[in-house]
Parts: sequence; structure tokens; C-alpha cells
Amino acid sequence: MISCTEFIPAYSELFKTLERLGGTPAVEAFWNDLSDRFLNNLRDLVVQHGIRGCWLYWSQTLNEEAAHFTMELDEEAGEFRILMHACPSKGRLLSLSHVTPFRDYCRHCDVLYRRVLEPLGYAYHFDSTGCDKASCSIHVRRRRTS
Amino acid sequence: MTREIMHRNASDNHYLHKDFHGGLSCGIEYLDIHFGTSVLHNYLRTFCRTFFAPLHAAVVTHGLSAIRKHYERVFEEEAGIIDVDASDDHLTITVRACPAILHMQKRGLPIAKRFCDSTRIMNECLCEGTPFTSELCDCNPRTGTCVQRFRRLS
Repeated sequence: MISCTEFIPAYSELFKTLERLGGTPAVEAFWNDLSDRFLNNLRDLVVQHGIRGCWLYWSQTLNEEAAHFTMELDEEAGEFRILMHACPSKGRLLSLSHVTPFRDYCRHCDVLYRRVLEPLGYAYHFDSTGCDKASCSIHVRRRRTS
Repeated sequence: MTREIMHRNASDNHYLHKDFHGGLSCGIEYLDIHFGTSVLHNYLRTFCRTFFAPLHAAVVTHGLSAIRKHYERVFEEEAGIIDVDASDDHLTITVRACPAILHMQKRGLPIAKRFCDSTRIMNECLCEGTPFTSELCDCNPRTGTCVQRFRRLS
């Protein structure tokens, strides 16, 4: 059995395989498929709880992933933020001397969650400028309805 | 309360996100359906040969005890249930409760038809170029049970 603690390098290798097979479109097609089939828990939580659904979803995943993060929810303003000080996934990839991470590994976080949240009426912004040091931020904002 | 803040250091939690088994399962199914089984198997071999290279080196040096130690640690960490029967020449791991299968069932995550190929190929890669061989028997993705056999080639 490949342990869940060994998944991230397997995930990165999968992206490299897909890129070899069909370039960036093949990688993105997989990310879209994964978002549609695997992120139903995020989708269901946001449908049920609104912006608080983001808080509920990432409260579980980021704690289970032992991330170093700060998360903020402002329900009245319809805003949710994650400041990822040290991403455990990217950090793990960078720490493995015998594994070369997929060159665009962090972008899956932009594609997967945007695809869930935008159709539900939220603006999604992913700041990847610190990705080479395993840090990033996510900002989700409820769109105003006219 | 409408405003909340949560701050966590990495050391506040233990790294164990079992939903990742579902992520691997989705990837396995996607490659199998869209690119074919041989592409899936090549991907798994490439990953296992690269990522498990340090464990493979330990098998070359220490024999089957390296594989035994690895799986005992993994199954303990993920709260799986295994029986182990081992000597210098053989290792049989009887999996009575596979944490990956049971977690995906519990969460209602799709289990890829060829999910267990990841175990078979991982074990084959660990034995490549060593005096050992492996086989995966009685694999039942419904019950989360299987038998992983390793033995010294005669």
C-alpha cells in the first residue's frame, strides 16, 4: 500500500506523466476532473453553510495535513482567507533530495478550488508568489448580487 | 460568531490526511480510463522506482526485513490491521483491514478498479534487482483484505 503520507510525491509524478502525454492541457483536464469528482465535500459545505463552508472544509484538511497556517473567516463581509506560511505538500516535495517536483505543482490549488467556488458565486484569488518557498495565500470573497 | 481566526504551527498536528488515498484512487482511474492500463502501470513503476529508491536500497542491503519494517510502520501509523509471518527467505503480510480501502468506503470516495495495482507494482519494484520476488494474492477491494507474499528466488 502506498501510504497517504506518500501521496504528494505520487501526485507530483502523476502531473509529470500527464504533461509528457499531452502537455499542459492534459494536466489541466485531470485537475478539472479531480475537482468535479473529488471535492464534493467542499462543494456541499459551501452550498449548505455559505462562506463558512470554506472554514469548515479547510479546518479539517489543513489540520490533518499539519500545515503552518493562519485562516480568517468574516461571514458578515463574506470573506475567507488562508495565509499558508509553510505548505506541508510543497515543503515535503522540496525536502526530498531524490524527487524532482512537477514544475507547476502549486497551480493545482488555483484550478481545483476555483472550479468549485466560482460557480457558487464566490471570487477566488490564489497568490502563488511564495510557492518556491512553500508559502501562498488564498482569498475567497462572496460576490455581490445586484 | 461571524469573525474567526485560526493559527496553527506544523508541530500542533500529526500529518495524516487519509483523503489522499481517494486522490490517488482518482488519479489511477483517470490514467486507466483516458490513457490505458499500460500507461497507468508505467506511471506507477516510475513513481515507485523513484520515490522508494531509498527503501529499495535498504532491501538490497538488509533483505526482506526492510520491507517488513516499512509496512509495519505504515500500517501502524494508519491504524490498519496486519499479520506478519517472516524469515530471512520469506515474508507474508496478511492485510485484514486496509486503511486506504476502508477510509475510501467510509467517506464514499470512488475506489478505482485497479487501485490495488499500486500495491502490486510497489512490491515488484522493491524486489527488482534483488534475490526476492513478490506476489499479491486474494486481493478483495470490497473487504479491504489481501495477502502480500515475498520470497527468496531459488
